[in-house]
Amino acid sequence: MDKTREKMKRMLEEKEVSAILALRRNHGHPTPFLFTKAEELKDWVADEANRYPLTKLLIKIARKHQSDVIGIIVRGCEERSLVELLKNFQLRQGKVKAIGIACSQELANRCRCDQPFPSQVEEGQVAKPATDFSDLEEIEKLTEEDRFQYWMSQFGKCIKCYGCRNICPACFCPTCTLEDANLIKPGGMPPEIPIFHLHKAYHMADRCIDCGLCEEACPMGIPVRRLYRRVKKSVKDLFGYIPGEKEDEKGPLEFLGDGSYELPGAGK
Amino acid sequence: MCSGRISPHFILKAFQEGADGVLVAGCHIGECHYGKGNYITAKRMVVMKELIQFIGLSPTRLRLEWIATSEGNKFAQVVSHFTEEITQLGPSPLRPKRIAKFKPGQEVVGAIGIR
Ligand code: SF4
Ligand code: SF4
Repeated sequence: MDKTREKMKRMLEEKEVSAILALRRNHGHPTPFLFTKAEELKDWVADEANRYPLTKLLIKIARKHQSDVIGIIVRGCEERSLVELLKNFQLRQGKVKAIGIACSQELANRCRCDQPFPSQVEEGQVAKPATDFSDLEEIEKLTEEDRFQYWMSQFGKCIKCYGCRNICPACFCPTCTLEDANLIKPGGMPPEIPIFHLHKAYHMADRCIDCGLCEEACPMGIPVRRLYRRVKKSVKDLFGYIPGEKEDEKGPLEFLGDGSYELPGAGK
Repeated sequence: MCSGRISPHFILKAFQEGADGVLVAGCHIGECHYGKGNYITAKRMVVMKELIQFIGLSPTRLRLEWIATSEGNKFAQVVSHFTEEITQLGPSPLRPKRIAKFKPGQEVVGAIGIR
């Protein structure tokens, strides 16, 4: 990672960016840190075991420092999340500089990742895509009744900690559907299932970048990512749309959307 | 009300309250008063159907029909046909009484690991 470190150093020294958001080893734990001085970079880490939704943090930081250009270290999925955030006006064009790093094959396999590398990679070998839908097929081959039982017993474990939402690098609304009193009883425990999870699942259909952080964050081990992957797959099959792919392409499910009049099946 | 106003969240809410079926009816494609309200409805409904099917709720319980204001007969037909279909399917597994029987974390489908 020395080449990347050099590049970060250069960017800071030449004032190409005012700061770089990345992870730093802090008492042994990788934690998010806003690097502003070149000498701080010796503590920078790009740890594969500890992923973090840095792009989500960037929204808050960028809002506070609107005139600054901020650099950020991104993996493939994080770059896709950047694209989604720019598309939805959460970040400003030209005020973010992405520095790409590639994921190892091992991580790509673990993530079942479609694209384990960002559009520009500074160094290292890029891994092969590890597209794998066996997790969805496993569920789809069950009977309807079994599927229902499976999901209800999974959802039933939910402690409504909102962890899956809070960590999501594609979620940003200031007022969340999951806290809308007309839809979900505020404060009520246990959460109303399956509506709690389905609301988010539908919401993610043309937004999920499939990083898998939600499932990693869930303290109850609920396979929420499978839900999001499933709707994401629907949107891809029906409309040929992949979230986080192109910046100038609007999601087909957005109300004002892409302005086109295409009907389902356009992607086939 | 434009069918484009039917947020998918309303549909989920209806199912959560125990509705056996949800019928969304709107103006024919190309005849939307607001231009493209029904295009977005058409798109939303297919995704929603696939989602509820995935969690084990029959997609037959959700139906989209285009019915113009002048088509009273069609409306009657659609409603009676839909009611028949739903009656055949039986009550929704999400009726409050049935839902209460689920125990959290119950290992129902042994073959699938949690992670
Ligand atoms: S999903 Fe996993 S493998 Fe793919 S880019 Fe993100 S961290 Fe890397
Ligand atoms: S992280 Fe898991 S337990 Fe927490 S709200 Fe999400 S699904 Fe429920």
